[in-house]
Amino acid sequence: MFDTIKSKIITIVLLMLLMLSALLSVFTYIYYRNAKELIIIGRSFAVANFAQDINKEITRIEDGARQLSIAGEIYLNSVKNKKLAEDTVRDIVGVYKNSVGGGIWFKPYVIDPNRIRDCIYALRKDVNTVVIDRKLESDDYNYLSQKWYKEAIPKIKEQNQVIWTTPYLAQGGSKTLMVTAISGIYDKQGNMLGVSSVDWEIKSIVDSIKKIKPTPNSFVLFADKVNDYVIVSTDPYVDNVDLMGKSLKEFPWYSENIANRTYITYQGKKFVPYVKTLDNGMIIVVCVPKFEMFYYTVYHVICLFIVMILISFLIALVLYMSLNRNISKPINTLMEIANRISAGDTETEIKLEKPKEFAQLASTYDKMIKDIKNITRERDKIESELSIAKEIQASSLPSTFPPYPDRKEFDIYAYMKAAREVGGDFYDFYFTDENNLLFLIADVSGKGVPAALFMMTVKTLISNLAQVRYNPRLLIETINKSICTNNKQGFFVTMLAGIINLETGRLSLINCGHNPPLVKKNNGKYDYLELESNMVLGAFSGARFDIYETVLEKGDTIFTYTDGITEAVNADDEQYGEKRLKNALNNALDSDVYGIINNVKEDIAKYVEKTPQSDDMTMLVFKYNGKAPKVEHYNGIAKKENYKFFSFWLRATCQKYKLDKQLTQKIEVASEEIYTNVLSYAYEDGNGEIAIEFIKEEDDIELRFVDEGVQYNPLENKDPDIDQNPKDRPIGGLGIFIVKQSAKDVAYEYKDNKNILTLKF
Amino acid sequence: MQLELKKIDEAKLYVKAEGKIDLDSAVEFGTTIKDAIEDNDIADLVLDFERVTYISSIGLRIILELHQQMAKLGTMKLVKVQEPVLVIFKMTGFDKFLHIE
Repeated sequence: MFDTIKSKIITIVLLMLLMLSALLSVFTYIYYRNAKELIIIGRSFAVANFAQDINKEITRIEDGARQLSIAGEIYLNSVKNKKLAEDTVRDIVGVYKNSVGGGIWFKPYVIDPNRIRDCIYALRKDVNTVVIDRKLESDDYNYLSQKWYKEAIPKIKEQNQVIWTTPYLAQGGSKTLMVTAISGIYDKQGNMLGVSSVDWEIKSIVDSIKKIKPTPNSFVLFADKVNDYVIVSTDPYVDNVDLMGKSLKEFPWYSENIANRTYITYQGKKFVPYVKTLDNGMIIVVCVPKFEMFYYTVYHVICLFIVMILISFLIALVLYMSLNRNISKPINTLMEIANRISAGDTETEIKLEKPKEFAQLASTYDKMIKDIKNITRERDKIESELSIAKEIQASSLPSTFPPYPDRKEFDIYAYMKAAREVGGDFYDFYFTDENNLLFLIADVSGKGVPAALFMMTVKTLISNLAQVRYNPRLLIETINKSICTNNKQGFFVTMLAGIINLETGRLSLINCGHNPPLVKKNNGKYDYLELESNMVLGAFSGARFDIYETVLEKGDTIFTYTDGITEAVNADDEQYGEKRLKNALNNALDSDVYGIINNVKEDIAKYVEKTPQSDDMTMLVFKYNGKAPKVEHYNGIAKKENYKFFSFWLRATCQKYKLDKQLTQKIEVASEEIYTNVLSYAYEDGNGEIAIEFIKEEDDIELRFVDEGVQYNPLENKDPDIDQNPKDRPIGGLGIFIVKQSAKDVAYEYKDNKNILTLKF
Repeated sequence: MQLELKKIDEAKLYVKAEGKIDLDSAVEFGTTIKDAIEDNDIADLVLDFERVTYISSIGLRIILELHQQMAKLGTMKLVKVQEPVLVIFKMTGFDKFLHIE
């Protein structure tokens, strides 16, 4: 599975990416933990900043209250110029654009002993317009009896102190939430003679606070701690409207030490409280659900992780596809082409342009294919030339069998199979004169073309020299000298040659370093002939050779072979061997020369099975049939008038071959009878041809009578009864009886529209 | 084949044959002797075969015809039959009925 470059690369990249992801995740986790802290701190800061802004506002309003106090003090200590005071108050209120209104309020009789109340109140109509509101100076309002005045007076203890009322709904139908900052007005002696107030609509703050929702399920509480008054809350689990103005104690999760708590548990969930106390004693508490606090963080980390893994796999996939296209596919293409080339297909073209590295490789491949094509073509040419050479060489060995059909004195058969296209083995035979036949078998050292050429030279040389009628010894020595002369390459030839006189059966055998032949004599069994093994031909120019002489009888057979036969190996590299060869011959003693060689061929084929042939295999068999039979012919028209010519010929022939009187008589008598039969019965017109063949083989005489007349077997007739009374004797039948009595054997056959009667004497 | 016919006594014919009695000569041999027998009322036929070297089945047939003819008329005998002819006579059983001396 990891065998391909592709898979290795992908695995490595994937591992690297996963490692990277893991590292990133570790860092992210560490970050996450820090992030938690940071978030907590961050949130704190956020809330703190928010509180800061509100504090600034509070400070401004308190400043406003103080300024109004100062204005009051001036009014008090001045010539009681109300108009001036009113302008001042108006100006001051105008400056504090967030205020709803502001005023100064004096204790009874402080300004004017006659007046119980003295106050100035400026009301903001819009951002830039502030007017004095005289309504509040009226008896209807009577500030002295107002709750806020009554509660404020005892709370203010020192100069510059500003106190805040509990939030309240404005009078008049607006129902906006207001809070008032009150400061004391003091005389030079430090007695508090009145208060200043600034009214502040805290709706905007409340709205801002309501918007505080750092996470989806966070909520906020805004309360006046000093006055124990809940101003606003966005707690989704309570009726916020109901709780407004109520004590903090009624707030379900609130506690005094909430600022010190890391978590509060509320509604089965943990919340992180962010508490900020404002300068005026108000508090903002933001509760963030714990799980949401880090929710995004965890969420982000996990998303990040998943995304990273997905990206890793995506990268791996892209890499896989890219590698596939850029490496695997071109390589597979090249491999496929290589396979096709080795299977013999050289016509394939390579089409590879991308990637560049492979384009280079592809063009190298292309060139290689062209070279292979050329080499193959050359090789094919050489092979075909070698095939032609093989044919030429094979046809130079005598291959017509029987080579001399009219020479009955012997039978000869030979077989050669080269191991390669051309071989080094050869055989040859020819008449050196009318009665002498030379036959030989030879093996040239080496294989292939050089050996084949040498073989052709030697073969020609021998046949030329053999015509010169040297005696066997001189012939061989001359052949050897000749071969040695032109033998720069140092080839040599082993050879077994025989020269036989067919008249007498006298045989001269010469063995030049060759395998001894297997000889069957006197109808016995084949055995290896022990004869002198002389030097091979072509080795030493002055070599002497010893000849082996013997006389062959009728039926004697000589089997010669080359070592390709005995050294043929089977799959176990064991040789066929001399013993098996001898047994193969002895297992079929009655075979003719063709049968002998075919038997050995078959036996070897069975032995080697599929093992290829490693050396040339050659065999030559010579069988002596004794002196040739003598054959005489007579042809003529079978007519009574012509009988004398036939008779004369027959007698002359018997005389020629010195047959004794009795035999001659028998032959004559029988022949006359047949002749008479033919002339009498064979042809309708009595004018048919008769052919007679006289064959003498040793002491056996055979007479063959052939005519083309009516199919008639004279032997079909019954023998006459020679004891019969002559009176009752039929005339016919006697002749054939005489024939049968005279001849040793009488045979009839009808073949090719010819009557053939064969008499043997 | 050469024939020499001599009438001896009243009705005796002495035939001296020389040569072969074969396809070539047998018929003529037969005809000549038969004619002589008829012409001369021969009752005894003597065939001198001293010089007859050969006889074939044709000759045998003629001999048989002569024998059958002479059996009605008188006698026939063969004299001085040589070995080759004798062999044939023996082979064919002719020696059993022919008067051979």
